[in-house]
Amino acid sequence: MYIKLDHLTKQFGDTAVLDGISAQIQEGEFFVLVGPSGSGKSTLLRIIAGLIPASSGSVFFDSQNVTDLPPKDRHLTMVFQNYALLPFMSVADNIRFGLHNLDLDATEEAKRVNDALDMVHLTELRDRKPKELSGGQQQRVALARAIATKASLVLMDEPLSNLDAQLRTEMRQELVQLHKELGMTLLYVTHDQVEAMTMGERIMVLNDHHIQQVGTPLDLYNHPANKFVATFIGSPKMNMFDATVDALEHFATLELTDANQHSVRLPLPYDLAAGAYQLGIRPEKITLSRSASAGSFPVRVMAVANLGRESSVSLVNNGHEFIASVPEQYPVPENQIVYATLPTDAADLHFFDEKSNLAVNNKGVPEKAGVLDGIA
Amino acid sequence: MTTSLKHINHYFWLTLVALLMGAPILIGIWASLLPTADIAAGHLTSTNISLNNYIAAIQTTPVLRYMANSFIVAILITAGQFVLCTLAAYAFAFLDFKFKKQIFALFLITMMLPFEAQIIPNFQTIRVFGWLDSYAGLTIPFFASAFGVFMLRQAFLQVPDELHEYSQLIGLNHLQFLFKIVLPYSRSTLITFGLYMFLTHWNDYLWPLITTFSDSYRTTQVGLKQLQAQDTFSNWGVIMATAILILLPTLLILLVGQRYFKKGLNTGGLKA
Repeated sequence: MYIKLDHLTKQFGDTAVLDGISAQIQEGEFFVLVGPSGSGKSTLLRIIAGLIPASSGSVFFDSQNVTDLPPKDRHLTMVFQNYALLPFMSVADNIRFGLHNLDLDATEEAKRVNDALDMVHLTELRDRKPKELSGGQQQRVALARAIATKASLVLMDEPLSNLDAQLRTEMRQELVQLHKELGMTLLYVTHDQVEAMTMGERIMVLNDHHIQQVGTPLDLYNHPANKFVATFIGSPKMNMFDATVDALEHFATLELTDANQHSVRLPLPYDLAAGAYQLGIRPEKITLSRSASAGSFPVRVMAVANLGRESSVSLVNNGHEFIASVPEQYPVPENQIVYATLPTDAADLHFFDEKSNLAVNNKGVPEKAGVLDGIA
Repeated sequence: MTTSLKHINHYFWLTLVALLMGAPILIGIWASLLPTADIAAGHLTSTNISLNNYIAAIQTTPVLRYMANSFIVAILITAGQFVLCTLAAYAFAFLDFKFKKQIFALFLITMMLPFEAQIIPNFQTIRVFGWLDSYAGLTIPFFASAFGVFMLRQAFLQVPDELHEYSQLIGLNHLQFLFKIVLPYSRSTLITFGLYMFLTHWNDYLWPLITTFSDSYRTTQVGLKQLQAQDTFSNWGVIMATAILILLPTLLILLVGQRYFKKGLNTGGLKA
C-alpha cells in the first residue's frame, strides 16, 4: 500500500504536536519514523492508524482518502511496544482473536494461525499464556498476530524497546528478514537512531513537531539537512565547532588553538559567504596522532571509551570538548596531550547556518532540497 | 536471633492476637453446643454437649427462611450492582464526555454521605412505589453503588491503552471490548467486588429492619434480633446456634475468596 500524508497537523488543546507533515511512503517500503521522545512520532503513527484524528490535513492510502475512516476499515495492523496481548488467552487464541473482523472460515483461520506461528518459530508454545513467555517470545506472538492478518500495511510502535540489547539486535534482523519475505508496507516508530539506521529503507526524522529530513540512512548520515539531524544521527554524535568564515581569504577560523596559541584555520572546501557558522565534523573523520604534524593541533585526552575494535576519545582544546573515534584500541592515559587533525574533504565538513541551523551548500545559501526530499 | 527463634516469636504474637480476635466466635461456637439451662445458670461447661440447639433452631425458628431471604437479597443486589457499576465504570474509564470529571466527583461525594442519612428519603421513595416488605424494596435502592463504580473504574484503568487501541484496530465495538477484553482482564477485581458486595448485603441490618414486616422477607440479621426479642425467656443456646449458622456463608466466602480480596483490593488501590 502506498501512503501519502498531506499537510497533517495535530494540536492537543493549544499545544501543537505535529505541524505541516507531508510525505509519501512507497508500497512495500520499510519506512522508519525516528525522533526524540515528544517529537510526535507516535502521534503521527496513530493518526495514520486512525486512532487519533488529525486536526487538519489528509491521509491517503493508495488513492483513497482515509482521513475520516475508522481504524478497522483501514486494513492495517499494528504492533505495540507492550505487545498488547490478551493475558487470559493462549498464544494461538491471541493470534486468532486478531482475525476477529476478517470474516474468515474456520479452516482458513486455523491455517493463518498455524502459518504465523510457524513463521515466528512459536508453534510449540501455542497453548501457553503470554505471561509464561519471555519478553522476546511475547513480541514474536504480537508479530505473528500482525502477520496472520495479511494486512498490506503494518504499523510498529517501538516494538523492540522493552527487550534487552542482545535480543533487540537479533529481532532487528528478524524483522528486516520478515519484511523482505512478506513485502508489506512497514511503518516503524523508534526513538533509537541505530534501529532506524540499521532497519529503515528510508527514514523520516521528526523533531519539534516538524519533519527535519526524509531520506535513506546514508543520505541522513552523509548529507544531514540541518544541525538537528546531523547530531541526532550517528553515534558518537557529530562534533560542532563555532566557525567564522573569511570569504576573501577562503578559510574558516575555529575556536581551537594550535601549539602556538593561534586559532586553528581550515581552508574552505567550497565557497561560503562571510559570517558565523557551525561546523559539524563526524568523530571518525578526526585523526589523532602522538606527534605533531603539519595542520595538527594539540588536544588533551579527557577520557577513552574502549569498545574493543574502536575507541571514542573525549578531547579538549581551548575549553572546547569534542570526540574522536579511532578504529583501534587506544591505550592513552587521561590528560595526555595528543595531536588532532581535522579533515579537509568537502564531504566531511558540514557547515550549518548559525541562525537557521540549516545545512549550507557551497553558495552559502541554506540548503532546502534535503528537507523536501521525498515530500510531495 | 536465629531464624527459628524469630519464627517462634512471630507465631507467638500472631496466635495471641488471633485468639483475642477469634474469642467471641469461639465462645459463641462453644455456647451453641451447651444446653440453655446450663448457659442461663452461668456454667461454662456441661456434661451434655450436643448439636440439639442446631436441630431446635432449624425446626422451631424460621432461620432457613431468613437465610434464603438474605441469600436472594444479597445475590440480587450483587447482580444489579455488577450491571450498573460495570457500565458506569466503563463510561468513566473509556469514554470521553463533557463534565466527566465533575460527574465522577459527584459520584465520589455520595460515598461520603453515610447510609443512615439516606434512609428517610429512600424509605419514602419505596413506600410510594409500594415496595415495602418486598425483595424490590430490599434490593433496588442498592443497585447503584458509588464505591462499586469507583473500584471497577480503578480496575478498568489498569487495562493498557494499547489494548484499547488494538480493540479499535480489529473493530470491536464498546460491548465487545467490555466483554471480550475489559471484564476478563479485570477478573480478580470483579470476583473481589462480587464477594465483598455479597458479604456486605448478607450482613445488612438497618434497612431490612425498617422495610420488612413479615418473616416472608425478613433477612437473617433482622431475624436473629427478632428471635431474641420474641422469647420472653431467651433461649440462648438456640440463638447462638442460629448465629453460627448465619455466620457460615461469611466464613466460607472469606476462606474461598482470601486471595481475591488481597489481590482485588490492591489493584483497586483500596484498603479493606
